[in-house]
Amino acid sequence: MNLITLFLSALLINNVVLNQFLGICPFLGVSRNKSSAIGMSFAVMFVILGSSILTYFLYHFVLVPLKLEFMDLITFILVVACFVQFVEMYLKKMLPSLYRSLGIYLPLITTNCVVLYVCLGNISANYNFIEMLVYSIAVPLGFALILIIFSNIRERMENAKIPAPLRGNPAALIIAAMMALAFSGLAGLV
Amino acid sequence: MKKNRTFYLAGFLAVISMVAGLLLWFVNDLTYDRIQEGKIAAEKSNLEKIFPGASFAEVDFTDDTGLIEKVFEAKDTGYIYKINVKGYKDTITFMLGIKNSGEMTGYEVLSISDTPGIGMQVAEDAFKNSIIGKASNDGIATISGATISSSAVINGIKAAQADFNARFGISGEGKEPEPEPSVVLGAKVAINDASIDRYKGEITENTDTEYVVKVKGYGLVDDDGSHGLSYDYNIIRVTIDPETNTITAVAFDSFGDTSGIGSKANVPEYLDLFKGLSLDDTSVEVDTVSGATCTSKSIISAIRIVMDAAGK
Amino acid sequence: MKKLSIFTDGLIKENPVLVQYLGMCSALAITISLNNALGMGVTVILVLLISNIVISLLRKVIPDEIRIPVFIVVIATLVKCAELLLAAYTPSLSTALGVFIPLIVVNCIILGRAEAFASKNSVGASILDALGMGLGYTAALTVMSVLRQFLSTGTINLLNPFTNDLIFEFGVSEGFAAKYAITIFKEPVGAFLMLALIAAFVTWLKSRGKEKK
Repeated sequence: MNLITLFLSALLINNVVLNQFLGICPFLGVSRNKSSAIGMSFAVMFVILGSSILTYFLYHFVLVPLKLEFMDLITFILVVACFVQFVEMYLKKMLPSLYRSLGIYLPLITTNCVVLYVCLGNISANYNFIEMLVYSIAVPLGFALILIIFSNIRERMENAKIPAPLRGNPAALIIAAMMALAFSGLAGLV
Repeated sequence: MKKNRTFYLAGFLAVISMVAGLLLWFVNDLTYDRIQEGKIAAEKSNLEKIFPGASFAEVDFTDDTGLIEKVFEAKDTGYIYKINVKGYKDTITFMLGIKNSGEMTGYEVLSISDTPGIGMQVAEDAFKNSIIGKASNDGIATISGATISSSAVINGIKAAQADFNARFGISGEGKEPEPEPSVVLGAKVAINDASIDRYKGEITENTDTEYVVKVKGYGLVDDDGSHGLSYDYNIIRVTIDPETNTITAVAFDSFGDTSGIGSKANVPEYLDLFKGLSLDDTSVEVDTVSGATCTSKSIISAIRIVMDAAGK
Repeated sequence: MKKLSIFTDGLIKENPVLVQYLGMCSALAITISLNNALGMGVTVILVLLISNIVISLLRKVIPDEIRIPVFIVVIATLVKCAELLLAAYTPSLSTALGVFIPLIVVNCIILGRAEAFASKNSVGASILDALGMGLGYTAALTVMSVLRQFLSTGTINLLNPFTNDLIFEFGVSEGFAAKYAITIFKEPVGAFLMLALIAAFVTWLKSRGKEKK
């Protein structure tokens, strides 16, 4: 597949949040202000790239030769969990300033379905190494894009008059619906 | 003490993982065959067309082209490749069966929506027959007039052949594709046949030895633009020998029909067939080009007009 | 009495999807049809039930420091088993749910219940908790899928996932559906909108109840 097509479709058209409905929990949870949205985005990008490279090699050079493909899910989720742990420990020791800005988001990422989705997707779509890299960059970029746009909208929504039952998450979901509508217009791009 | 604790924790996790692994191994064992069967259930009816009665399993494959979608092994019989290629308008999906002996024995087009009459020829028997019976390292000839679709299919076949040959360690080139004969003759038709009458024309200039005839071709024959507007008259130059009263040459000054189809009649191999034809007898039967009947008849009409003018 | 409230809490007051906003990825993605919603709901109930039982049984053995990795291994094993069994016995359902089956692993409901409830309570209570939460999840999915499927296609049907036979079908006439179906509810837009409306409705119900008291 054409790498640019792959990149654009993963970034915009099949956007993880608006089209694949993944990562909704952090999407609603940490989008209340811009700085936490940006922190979360970077943490997710880093973890996805790292863990998809790790799982890619583990799958193709350990699980497949041993005919243990059915262990993929356990292996992947443990790799993700351990990777997040290690990153957290490393940052705490070596880069305390970065840890203070990203640290609180890291533990949340283990249960961010986008990470596992990318790891599994790399395998089931049979990507080669380059395609895997492009895909693992495009998907979290798409996540970051939506998260940051959304946090900007949400900061302004704080001052809006919203009927009581819709306040909070329901209103956020309606904004998400409108964003999905806007993004569906990009479908013809590729 | 702390070290012991770490060992205990690692050990505990290892035991849990081992139990998990065993359970999964057991469930995997239980379901593996059914899942494999389920995967090919959708394709089974198509697979059966190629190798009836065999038992099938999906297998891994190597493919640099990205055209092969799936490969099925028919146990002790051969391999079936499911291939997607980009045709002229749309994706063409087809299956190719290669026997373990290396003979290509099956070709089934599963989905195609190409230009009717042109690209669709890759789904017709003539093309199928040009594949079946060939060896896994033979070349296949494209269909002239449907070059885009047929060469796309042939690229898919080459990808399948490459994988198959790698499996069996077959190397080297097989037979080249036989060059397609430039003219395939169709039904014969008498020069004064009524079906020629529609191709009206007139002599635009003439000398004793040369006549130029402006005659309707395929596109203009119905006079209503129903074949589209991009057509023009065929201008045909007929040279005769007044001594022997025979035709010495037929040639196009200007070709107004469909290129790729009608142009199959605009080749020396066909036009030369009229050399030496007597101008006196309009009842003689002459050849037409298969697949370019209208243009052939347009030429024959021009010849009849010349005969009427010059013959006795 | 207390036991009953463990069960009903999950079903209504603490409904995982509509009140706690957990497990929303699958709630949005697979609620295109009732079939998918029930298939997903039953799978989650079973996984949640077994994981709650296993973790509750092992709660005194599991060392505290590594409890999260152990929970993850247990859940991942169960989910993988479910994935394999679904692929083997209900292939069409398995294709329809696709990647959302393995993603049950990171469905916050399951790990959340393991950590918050099963690791601290007896087996019996954990079973009730699993059933309550699981049914609450399934109920939310069912409501969403019925509304979405009906509004977008005009019919609601249910197939036997093992044989693909029709169990029941209910719908307006085809002509009416063709004219008035709101196909946008099939799209992502409709998913977000529907969940927002249902959640707002539940919030409104709850606030009304409080005022009465």
